[in-house]
Amino acid sequence: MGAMDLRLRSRRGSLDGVEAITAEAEGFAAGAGVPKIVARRLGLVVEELVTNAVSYGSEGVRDVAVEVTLTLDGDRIGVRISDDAPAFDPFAQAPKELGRTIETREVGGLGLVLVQALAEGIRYRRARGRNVVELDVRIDGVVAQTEGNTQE
Amino acid sequence: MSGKTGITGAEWLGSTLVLTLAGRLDSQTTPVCEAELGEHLARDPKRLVLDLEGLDYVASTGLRLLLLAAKRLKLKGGELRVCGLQANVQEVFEISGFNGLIPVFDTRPQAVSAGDDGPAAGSQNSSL
Repeated sequence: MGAMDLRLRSRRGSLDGVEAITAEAEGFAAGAGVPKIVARRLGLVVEELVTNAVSYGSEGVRDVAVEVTLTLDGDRIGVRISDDAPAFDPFAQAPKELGRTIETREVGGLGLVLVQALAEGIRYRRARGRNVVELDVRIDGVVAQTEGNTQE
Repeated sequence: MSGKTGITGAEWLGSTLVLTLAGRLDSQTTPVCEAELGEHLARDPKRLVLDLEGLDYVASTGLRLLLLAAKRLKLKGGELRVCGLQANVQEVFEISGFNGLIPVFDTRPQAVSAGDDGPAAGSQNSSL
């Protein structure tokens, strides 16, 4: 009760199935009766991390098995995402400066920026040959702190 | 996850092209939308307005597409504008700093007609 396990086996970096896992995650949140925006945040966090694990873990040639566990825990949804790709901590790199004009803004790299803004308690470890990322998505209507300024 | 996703409508108003987006811009739907958007951009609109009222969800891959479109338009002296953002899409814009890059309007008429000399990016931001 209050938990869901999702599995994806990606062939050589294929993103087939990521959309379905995202929908399942949003469905889990909706089933828990959380506000719609929280369900969207959960879906976004899951999509970005699974896409990241598959895209970078596979390097286009390896198969990657990803497991997602969602747990309803009071005022938060716990998310645990693990994969069997080579060791890689997606949060080890310092956040890069976001260009402030259309011309200077680099394309890409926003997935982890979104995850870090929408989730709390993000931690990475390597355990039993798997990359494990754990984090929490708060169940409330508070708008995330933004890049550069805050919203009410 | 119901209904059509991607570009669901296109309307020319002078040299301004208004495209209606619906559904989701995620890792699976964005490539399809990117191809469709490329065809529209090939017609060289001076201004492109994306009406996002029916867009439920944008992931980083969708943001990438919007930024590429904005860059392409800017190179030709044009401008990308967006309107009708849902709360979670607005939130994603705020986090990524896109609301300082791409002019955001509440409604389609505002996006189409505001400041024909072209406002500075971010000067017309809507609030949540």
